[in-house]
Amino acid sequence: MKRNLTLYRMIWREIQRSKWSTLLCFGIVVLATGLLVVMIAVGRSSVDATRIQMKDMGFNILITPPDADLAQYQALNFDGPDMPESYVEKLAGSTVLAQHFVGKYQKTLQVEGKTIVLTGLRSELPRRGSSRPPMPTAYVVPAGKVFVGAAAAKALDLEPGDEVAILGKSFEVAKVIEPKGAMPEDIRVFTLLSDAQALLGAEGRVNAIDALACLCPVETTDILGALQKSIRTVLPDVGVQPYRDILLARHEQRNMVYRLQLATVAIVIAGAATAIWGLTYLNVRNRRSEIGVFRALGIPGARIASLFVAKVALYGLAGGIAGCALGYLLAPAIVVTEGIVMPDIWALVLIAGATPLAAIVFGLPPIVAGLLQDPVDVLREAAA
Amino acid sequence: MIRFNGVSKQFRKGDTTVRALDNVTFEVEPGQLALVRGPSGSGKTTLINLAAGLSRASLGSIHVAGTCIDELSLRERADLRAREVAVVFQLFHLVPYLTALENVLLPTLATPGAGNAPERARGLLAELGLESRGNHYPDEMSAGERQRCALARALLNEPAVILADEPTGNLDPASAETVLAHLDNARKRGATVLLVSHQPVDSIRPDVVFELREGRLLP
Repeated sequence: MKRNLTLYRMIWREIQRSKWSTLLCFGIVVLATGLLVVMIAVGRSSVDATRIQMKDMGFNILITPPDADLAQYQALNFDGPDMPESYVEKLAGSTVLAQHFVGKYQKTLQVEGKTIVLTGLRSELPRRGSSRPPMPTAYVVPAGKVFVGAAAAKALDLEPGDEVAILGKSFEVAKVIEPKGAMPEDIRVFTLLSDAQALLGAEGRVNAIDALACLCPVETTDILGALQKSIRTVLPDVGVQPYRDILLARHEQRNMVYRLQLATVAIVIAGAATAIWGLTYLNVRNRRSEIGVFRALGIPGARIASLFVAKVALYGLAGGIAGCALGYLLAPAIVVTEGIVMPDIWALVLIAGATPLAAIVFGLPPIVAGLLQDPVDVLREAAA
Repeated sequence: MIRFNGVSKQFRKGDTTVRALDNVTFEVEPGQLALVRGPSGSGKTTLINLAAGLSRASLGSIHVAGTCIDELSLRERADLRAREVAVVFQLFHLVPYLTALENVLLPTLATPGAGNAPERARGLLAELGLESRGNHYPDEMSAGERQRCALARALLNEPAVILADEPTGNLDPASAETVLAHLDNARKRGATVLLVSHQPVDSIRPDVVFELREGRLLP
């Protein structure tokens, strides 16, 4: 050895000397970090799967024109007021607590003596900055064609490829929609919004906007109030009619998955913290006489502490990186949802970077306790 | 130099107060070797711990290497030990995962910057007959070799004061003689040596001999 003894050399020597306890510590950090990554992947995937499943339930708020009578809407009378189509762009370009905006113009009509609800649909506008796929119920109807609800198709004896005349204009049936079992969905005949506007003489107007809420923070208790307030900051005079049960179910479900994710992450962190604390405690305890000798040699407490802290940090860093890799490899085998949403790379970097800090925080109490022991007592006990 | 002036040390053990040292006064000059004799439990180790600044006196004042250590903070006392005071223990207290050479170099953790420390450590090991043991771990060495290694560690920084607590207690006669000879050499180089032993130390001639009985120095 040509150079002086350094802390790094001492740490390395101690690690070499205590291979099993080193492996145990390293293994625990790897396992804890790996579990953390897996749990985050499970949580994110569950949230996403829930979101997709809840999305299948359809839109959960209806935005109506100012002074619209909801009772008339329920009675399928849509002859009330309408509003500018540009409201859809206003909402989509804002930061309201909703997304997936579909403007529509709807009117109850008689076709061949049967009641239908003519529904002109505009292509879904996503919320600004959102890259989420459109709602499954946001049909994109080609110009000059119609999608026909199951009950309407049955009443009018229509099949794909047939022609149907609405208010004197002929449309080709492009699709018959599977029965929804809900009114008025099954008697709707969908056209492109501009086709319906032309038929009804309502160019540039809509009389309802469907949307999906809520992007309310988890802690929001009055989500209906929050939602109405949020939308009215953009469009002060519109009506906001929530499909209350769907809205609340979606919010509750998201919250439950979110809380479950938080709880599992907290359990993993608590388990790892306890393990690190315990192993550091044992390590410090086993090396009490060593600490006493260091003190007797005049080595400052901070330098002695750094021997232990650096070792714990090293486990944290190496274990954190290896754990992230392990979790990333294991997550696809463990996540049970159809799709998997992995933590993004920055989350992994954050976890790998935070692990040594967490290890230091959890390992520090036994280290400090070890240093505060009276060296005379420690050396006397070692001699006994 | 070591000077104890009316030093007492008491500590509590359960409900009783133990008086480990009682009004102890003595002085050892630089270049002197003082032998403190006494049976087990007479307060010899307490005296070493006080002189090393590892514990504080209940009463009296202690000067070590020209410094009054009574009012020094923990850090200042640690600094004094690192620079001026070395302690040799009966049980060697080598660090098990370091080689003999690395154990000798341990004090450099307290006083970094000593560039020639590795050469000096090797030289000390050679002087103490451990030249071939530099890369051996403590558990690969005999008790005598371990104590010589511990002595080399104590001598590395050329301390002004050496406190030796029963350094020959666990050694065979030949090893004990080697260790005592090196303590004697340290004295000759000008160090103050306080040697505590309950065994006879016939191979060296102490400058001063103190007798401790139940915490008191006998006249």
